[in-house]
Amino acid sequence: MTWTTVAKFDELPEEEGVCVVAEGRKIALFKIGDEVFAIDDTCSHAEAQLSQGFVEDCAVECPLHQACFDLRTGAALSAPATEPVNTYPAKVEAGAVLIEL
Amino acid sequence: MAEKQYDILIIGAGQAGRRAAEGVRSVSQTASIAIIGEELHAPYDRPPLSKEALLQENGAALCDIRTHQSYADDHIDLYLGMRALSINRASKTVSTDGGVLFGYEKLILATGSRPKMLPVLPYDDELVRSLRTKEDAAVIAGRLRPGALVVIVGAGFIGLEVASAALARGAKPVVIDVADRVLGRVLPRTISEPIAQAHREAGVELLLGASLGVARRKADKIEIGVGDRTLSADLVISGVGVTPNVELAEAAGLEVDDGLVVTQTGHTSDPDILGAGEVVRHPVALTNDVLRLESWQVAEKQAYAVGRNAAGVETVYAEPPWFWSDQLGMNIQLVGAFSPQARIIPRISESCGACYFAIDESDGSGRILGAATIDAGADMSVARRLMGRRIDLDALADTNIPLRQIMKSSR
Repeated sequence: MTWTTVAKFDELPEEEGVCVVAEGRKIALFKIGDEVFAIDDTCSHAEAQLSQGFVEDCAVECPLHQACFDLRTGAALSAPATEPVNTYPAKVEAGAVLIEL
Repeated sequence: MAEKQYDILIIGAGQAGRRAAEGVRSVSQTASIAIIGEELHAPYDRPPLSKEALLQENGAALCDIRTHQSYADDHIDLYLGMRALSINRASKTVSTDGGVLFGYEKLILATGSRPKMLPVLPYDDELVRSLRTKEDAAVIAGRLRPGALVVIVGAGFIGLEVASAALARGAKPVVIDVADRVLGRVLPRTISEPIAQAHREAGVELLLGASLGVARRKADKIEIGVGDRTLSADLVISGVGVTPNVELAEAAGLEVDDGLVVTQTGHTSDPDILGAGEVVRHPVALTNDVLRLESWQVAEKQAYAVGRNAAGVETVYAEPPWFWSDQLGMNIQLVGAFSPQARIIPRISESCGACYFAIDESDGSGRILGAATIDAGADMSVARRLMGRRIDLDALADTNIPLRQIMKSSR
């Protein structure tokens, strides 16, 4: 488990996702207020990019079939998804966004 | 005297039957629940049948949301391969072809639909198939071979999804419809035309405004007349809509009108009988209309609300209709409805797909009554939240203004 710098905090858009690739994995980053959340970019239900989804109330809605995932826990909050997505610990240090892989 | 007595008895073991049971369980841990279904499978969702099940080995597994065991764990009794024969409303019992008589406190009819059949097609031939069940999907998947001529009757969502799968499997799909365009039942021409064009460009032959002639078996093909042509098909798939399974309800004297007529809480004309899923005709949000909707959303959410109502916790179902289709790598979504009178405002960008809004101009209110997206799913998330609202239409037509910003300023 190592912390990896994946983005600059100031360059992340508010309430929108960004896809980064770290150690070969596609990871979606979401900036909510002062915090950043990191989850797998690929939806657990279909081949969709969660970083392209709509963000509201610390949840992201998959763009293809509208399944919602909790950004904090990765839990599937609504069908058609039934499985969670992976989450990664994320922190902001000296303006850099780091996630633990 | 009933042999088996349940607090909640559900007829129909599809997605709606499952969701109705889950709705009951969400408010009552103690209610006894049973689901009776004709298919031998535990309830499964059908959307993957026209997509992954035709494309991938084991793709039909995506239909399975729960295992058999999970029903037992949740104390939901499944009676599969069993057909309900009649409802006796006076004695509150249901007779079945298994010889078992079920008693109920509340009965939920989730009997679904069956594919419509055209008189000109020989459905008893193994080369002619509708698509409704896992078995149908397995047979069709097995026959989507490279080079096979696959004739698809009906240019609705099922027909176009099957065409897309056929193409991906190397077969040659031909889609026939009597209407002069694809998706004519749900989308205006402005939106259906780019979808049709994508199919033509991908290699799907569309024969629209076409009259279907005689179809008959000749050796290992089905010869089918279309206009003045004769196609020699390796497989014929019929996707011309569904008929609601209302016979049980009708025989029991419940109100039926192209579907089992229910209220926003799913109640029928009998207070102890409710209806769930695509068999029902229900009041639909934003439309002022009572409609029968053939969609995942109704099976998923209306049925869940109905389960809660059956268990005594009032839950109104009032979501605007929402629907998705995946075909040719495109994601198409539709919320609300596009009436012929609606003004259509398109937002189209090269990089972010297309989003269309239907604006109500009948009363000058300019409310949003529908939206459709092609490869613009994040826009759909916003569009769903804008349904029924009045917004700045000039801003809506300006693709330089993000939808999200329009949503925020309309609050």
